[in-house]
Amino acid sequence: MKNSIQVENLSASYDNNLAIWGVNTHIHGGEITSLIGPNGAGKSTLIKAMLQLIPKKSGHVLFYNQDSQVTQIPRKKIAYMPQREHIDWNFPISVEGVVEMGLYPKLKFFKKITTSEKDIIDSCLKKVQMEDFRKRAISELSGGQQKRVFLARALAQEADYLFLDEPFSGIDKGSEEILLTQLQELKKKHKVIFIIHHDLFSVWRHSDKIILLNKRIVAHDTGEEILKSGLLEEVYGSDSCEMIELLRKVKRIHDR
Amino acid sequence: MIVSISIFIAIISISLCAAVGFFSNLRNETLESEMLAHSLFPGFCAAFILNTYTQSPLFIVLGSFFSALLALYLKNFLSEKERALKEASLPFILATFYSAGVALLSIINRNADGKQKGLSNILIGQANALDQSDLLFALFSWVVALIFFAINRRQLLSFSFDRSFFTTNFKKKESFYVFYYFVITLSLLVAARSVGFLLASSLFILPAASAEQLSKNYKKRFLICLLVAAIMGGAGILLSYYVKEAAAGPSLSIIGLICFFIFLSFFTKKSWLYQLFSKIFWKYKIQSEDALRKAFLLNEKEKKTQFQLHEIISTQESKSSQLLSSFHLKLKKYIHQNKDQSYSLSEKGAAHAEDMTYRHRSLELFFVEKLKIDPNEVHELAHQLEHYFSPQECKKLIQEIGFDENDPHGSKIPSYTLLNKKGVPGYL
Repeated sequence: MKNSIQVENLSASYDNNLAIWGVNTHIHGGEITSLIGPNGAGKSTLIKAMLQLIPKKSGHVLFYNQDSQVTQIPRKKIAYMPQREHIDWNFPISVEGVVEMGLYPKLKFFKKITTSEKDIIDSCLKKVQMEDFRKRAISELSGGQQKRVFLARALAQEADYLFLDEPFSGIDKGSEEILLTQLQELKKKHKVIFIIHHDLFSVWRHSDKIILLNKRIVAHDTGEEILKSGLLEEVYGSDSCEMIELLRKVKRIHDR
Repeated sequence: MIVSISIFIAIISISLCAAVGFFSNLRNETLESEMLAHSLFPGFCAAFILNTYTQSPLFIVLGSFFSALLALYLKNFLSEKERALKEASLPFILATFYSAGVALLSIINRNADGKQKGLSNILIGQANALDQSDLLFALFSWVVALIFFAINRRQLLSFSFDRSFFTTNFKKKESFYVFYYFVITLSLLVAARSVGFLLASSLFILPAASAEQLSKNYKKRFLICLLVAAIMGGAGILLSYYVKEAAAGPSLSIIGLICFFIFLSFFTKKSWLYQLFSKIFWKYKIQSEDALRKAFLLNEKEKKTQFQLHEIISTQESKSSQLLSSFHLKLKKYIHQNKDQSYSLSEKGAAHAEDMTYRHRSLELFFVEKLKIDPNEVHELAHQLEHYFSPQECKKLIQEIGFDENDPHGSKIPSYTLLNKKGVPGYL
């Protein structure tokens, strides 16, 4: 049995305006699920409501683990990478310190970081190729490096459910490849990987399943099926038709 | 004696506020501290009025605490109700609670009790007249704060850096918040005794803001913050003692402000003092590296191991500059004086001289072989750039050329491997 998340009739609002309503979906572990939708579709709100970072209006979210046990929210098993703007990058903490934070929920009150935990930090930093930057302040890194450090923190957490809000936005090609490699590794371990994607051209390459959201779930399918269905034009509006047609051509060339 | 006791009590009190304020500063929520400092005021006064029957300091603490919680609840309520009110809610609550506090204070001051108990000083504080009861209260608050820090140090760091990580990974958040705001209340009450409710938040903000200029490591920053608090306590009390007209509370805040501006003006990378020192450092670093290379060439070409300073230090520089360069070379122990008053390179100096020659000649080789620059023009270019390239970078530049034995002028390039074996810094 794989980890999975069941979302049932989830609604949430901002300033009394419903940002998402009646969201029903099942996100499976062992595959990368990407969430797409136009601006204001409620992508970040959906993740925040699922993680109880904002209050929900209705519905519930069930997290199934590998033993089929259900919990409301499995603390310590969730890794969330927020959007860049939501982190204070001038915070006086080193790369190593951020990754070490991933171990905090499992450490007892007075337990110090031991050699075995330092080894975990080392190996996580190596996986995202940030071991040479361990002593650097987080403020001194590029956008891509900062996201790699956050992924290293998620790896240190040994989280079963990963929620990444626009991890590929504004990062260099090298960092993108490193993130993708690690996500593929996590996929093999049947982790739930849920990503908000901003770039329609690369989402097909990064995902096994795609959820198209426009306050409600419009489609939840493979990229190919969503592209064929014509729902993208419907959701993104007629202004985006040319872009979506171009996208189809790019995908056809890529598939060949 | 009285002054030193006052200084001691002030340092204990201010360092507590600085330690707690440090975390508000980390979360960029210093304005919230300001709001809380003012919102304790009506609770404090109301408790004082009711306390005439019980005479318990706990009553005052709880009154202030509930006042702070009410302010926080209202702030969250307003922010969630209307996003536009998120920013405006802080000054709105600050003004409302402060007005309520002043109204209650005027009621208290109508009877003699308030003045007798020093409550008339509660707006501007009485840092130079703190007594044993203030010390005990500050020490008690320190103990509570230390217990909180010890139990919640990891939660506190996560909470300050990434609120979503804290929310998704830690249980018992409600008790954390209650404990956290209780510690803030205690330290604000301590601050109010020292500098008054008007300036209480300055003890939260100024040490942390000063420390922020100096370090990117939160542990070091925390220690600097405590140091600034100690300076504020010591210098502030002395200022109010020697300048008779100066009230102690504002004196502490003025010293805090001076610390902040000194750090901002002199110790950040953008400050003029840092820039000046950096310029001087690079000037003498470059001059001494050039001098070392000249000493290396004297040995290589003329087999001269002993030399006079004017032979290696450029005479085109001013006398004072030459003097400083020679001083720098001696200070760094790159050269030592012989019995006959001549100089020789020390082992450390010889290694560094060889290192500079490696950088110079490999850059020359790279410019000629890779960038196809005329060999007659590369010397000056390499001479300028050798100070800014690390040995590893130089090695990377020339490793694809296929040969690295001689520079374009036929001079031997020192061996990277040998320099590495000698343990010269930078040769990894």
